[in-house]
Amino acid sequence: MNPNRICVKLFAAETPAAKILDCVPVFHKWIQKRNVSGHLLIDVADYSHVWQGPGIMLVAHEANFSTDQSAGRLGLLYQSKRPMEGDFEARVGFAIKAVAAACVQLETDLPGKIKFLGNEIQISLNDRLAAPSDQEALKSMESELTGLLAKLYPGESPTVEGVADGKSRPTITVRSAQPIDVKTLLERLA
Amino acid sequence: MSWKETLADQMPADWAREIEVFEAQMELRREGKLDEKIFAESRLRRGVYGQRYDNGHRHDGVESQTLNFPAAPLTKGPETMWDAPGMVRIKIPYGGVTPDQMDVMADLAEEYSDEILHVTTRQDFQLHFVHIEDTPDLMRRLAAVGITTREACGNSVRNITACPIAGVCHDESFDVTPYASATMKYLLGHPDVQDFGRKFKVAFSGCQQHACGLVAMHDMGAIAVKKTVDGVQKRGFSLHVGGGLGAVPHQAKVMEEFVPEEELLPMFQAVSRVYARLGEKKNRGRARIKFLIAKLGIEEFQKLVREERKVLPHDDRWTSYLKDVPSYREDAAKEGSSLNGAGHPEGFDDWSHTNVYHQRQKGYAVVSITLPLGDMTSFQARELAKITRRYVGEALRTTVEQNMVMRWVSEADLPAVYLELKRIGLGQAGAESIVDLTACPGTDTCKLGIASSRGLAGELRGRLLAKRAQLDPAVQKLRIKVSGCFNSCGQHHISDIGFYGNSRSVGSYKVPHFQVILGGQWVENGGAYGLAIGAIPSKRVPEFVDRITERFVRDKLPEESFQDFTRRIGKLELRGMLDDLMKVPAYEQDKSFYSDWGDPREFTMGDMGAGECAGEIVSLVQVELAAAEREVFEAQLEMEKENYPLADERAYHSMLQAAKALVKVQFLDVGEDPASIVSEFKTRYIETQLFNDRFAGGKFANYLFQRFETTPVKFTRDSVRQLIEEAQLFIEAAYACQLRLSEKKTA
Repeated sequence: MNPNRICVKLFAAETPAAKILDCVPVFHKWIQKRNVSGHLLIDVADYSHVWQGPGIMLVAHEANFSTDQSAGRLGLLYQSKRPMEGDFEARVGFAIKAVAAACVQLETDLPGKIKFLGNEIQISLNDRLAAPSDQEALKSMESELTGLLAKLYPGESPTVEGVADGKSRPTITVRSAQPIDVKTLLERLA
Repeated sequence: MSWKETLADQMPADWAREIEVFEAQMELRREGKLDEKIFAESRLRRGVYGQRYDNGHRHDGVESQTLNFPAAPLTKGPETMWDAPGMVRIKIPYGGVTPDQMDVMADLAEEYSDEILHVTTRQDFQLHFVHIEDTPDLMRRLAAVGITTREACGNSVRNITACPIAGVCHDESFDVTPYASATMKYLLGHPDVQDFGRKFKVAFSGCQQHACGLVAMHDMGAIAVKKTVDGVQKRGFSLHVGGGLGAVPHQAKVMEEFVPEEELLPMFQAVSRVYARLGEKKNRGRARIKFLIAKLGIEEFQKLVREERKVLPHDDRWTSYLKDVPSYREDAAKEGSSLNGAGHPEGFDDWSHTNVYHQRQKGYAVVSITLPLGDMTSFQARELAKITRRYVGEALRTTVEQNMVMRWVSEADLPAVYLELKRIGLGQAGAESIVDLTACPGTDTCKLGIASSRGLAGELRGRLLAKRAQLDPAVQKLRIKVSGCFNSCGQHHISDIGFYGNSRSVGSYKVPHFQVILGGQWVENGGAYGLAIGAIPSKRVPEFVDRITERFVRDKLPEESFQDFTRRIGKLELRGMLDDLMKVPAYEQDKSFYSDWGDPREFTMGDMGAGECAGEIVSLVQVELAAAEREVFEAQLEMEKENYPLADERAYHSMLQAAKALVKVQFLDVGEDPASIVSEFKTRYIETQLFNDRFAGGKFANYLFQRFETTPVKFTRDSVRQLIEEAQLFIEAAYACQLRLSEKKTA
């Protein structure tokens, strides 16, 4: 299994003081400064009017970054859109790194207004041809990510919860009992 | 396995072949073996559109950035970078969509787009930010569930729209659904619709009196009519042609009062042939069928179509579908039964009042699902598909107000359906009311957008929703529609309160504005168009909406409609309500006016620093352009008074005034003689191409030249109205020209 498109979401801690609209000028600034490494930033899309939707979206050539509110939980979602390099583990690692870096940047640009959790990661396969929404996909994800998860959460046994209902994207949520911030998560991927 | 292999036997062979052909064209273009213009038209005819910034440049509020797309300099059309994300338009004939199709579109939105499904004002779906490499598989996945994107864009027959309550409506003559479906199948890819100079939009309506399919604003439309012939009641249609919004709106004319059902398709074909043969091909600005009909007159056009009909070679498909029409029906999933005193959950009564229509079939209802700005998430789409299966089976349709309707809901299920919709954030009350705004994509994604229509609509929606319960019932019924430019995709001409985006210069800055359009008519198939009252800064629009709605509540007569109210108090009075709102505070006083709704980038940051000399000249030009604008407004007033010759003269003079304003930048002594003004304008602005807009070229100048060369001998409301619209556009173009010149001087 090596899907071309992967989604990774890191969740915001508690209820942030920031409103998602606060991200509009921040994302525009990122485009001005071109400061999301490895991504050609194109535009900002405002979907704040949509219930539990992508909120504010930073559109890049390679991926979308959005203040995703699905299932009522705010987080930053990375949705890859172009073919990625490497094997599945490398692709997921790349996506986690990209979204974690963006989270750290958001924490910096909205100081004191938003914090992200480093000990909970949601990973979805966004390629129904390579990865249909079934139990097999979930098993493959879990087994192929063992090494990566060990790197992210050394000495721990994070729980992995999977959902595949035949229609929506096969998704696992990884949780580690030990709280870490997103900066630490990023450092562990270095 | 690829999607091509996986889905090979799940779609019609000709559809599979068409997608393969497109994929091959993509490859040829990549290799430089296919001209970019030819590829662009092929791409558009497959529903694959360009999107804002796809020329590889974007102003970030400080400077224009080059977007270094990886495949550059490869293009997919003139000034359209190959791998810039674009939009895919998905044709949904008469808005009919099944739960299985919704599931697939949700998948596509997640995998290839931005997780949002957008419903358009022509009952299509659109996906944005799609990479061209993904489009063949996207098309295959749609084709496997019976959807094509073919001819969703390009110069051909676009989606065929129809009333979303066709078949269940109390007032319709009969259900137009099978006729709309047959027309779509017949005209899709038909050789007679491949050589149009512009796009061609077709609509069906079940009755004359409601908005339904908005036939009056379509290139070609059919309204269901029954007629007794030789003692037998026959089904047929009144056929309308030559309507359209766009920059110069036209009301459709009745071409045939009654076309029997067996003659519907051949008549459509005959109209198509005449349009393909005689319609303008070179000047895109005059290429819609409305211009051909205005030029020929409806009688001559009718004669040509009837002659064409006589020589059409017979086609069995004209009538083969009719044998199935009498048995056509949607099957309800459940028995219809009344609500019968069942408990009402919180919020249900309010929602039911605005979002439920009781079908003519006893015990059944149509439920409107309000989509804010036409958007829903892939999750909502998938859940809506589930709810549809559970309660009604398959009966789901999109609407031209960017909503969806679920038909054949047993009334006993209404509370449960409401709670289900509420659970997924789609239980908002207020369908088809002032809080249910329509907006085109505008500057969010459209290349032609001038101002942020979605930003403005979102802002107004938020404000109006917050006070919805306090709004007077007469105000709640009003409709607001917003377009990002004069091209009318947001259908601003047929709303009570409409806006279209433009910009004005203040000093050396650009300020986003919206032109206010009042008094359009939604009912009677979009039966009358509003007229421009004046442009106000984007940030003043909410204040204006408050002002006009408060005035309406205060001064309206009992039972008076908004259209009647605006007509009664008159345009001069309405214009007076705008005067103070037209003022823009200096940049140093309030910078917020210099950026648009939802977009913090300053409109003019890159254009700062105008020189003293240029500033003075610009100032003189602006005064004269404002005078021209005033004059065209006066022309509107004269038209309202039915002083058509004077209205015509005023509109013509407003164009001369605007042309003179530009000429005076270079030649102050141009004088007042029309011949001198036109001659100097041609020499200085047309021959030098200074007047040419990047996208529209010099087309707006033709409006002046045509009127200068041909003095009308007869003045009708229609002809005067058209000249006023043209004058408005010419003045807008003059403003744009002046802006470009001042930018050049600053640079």
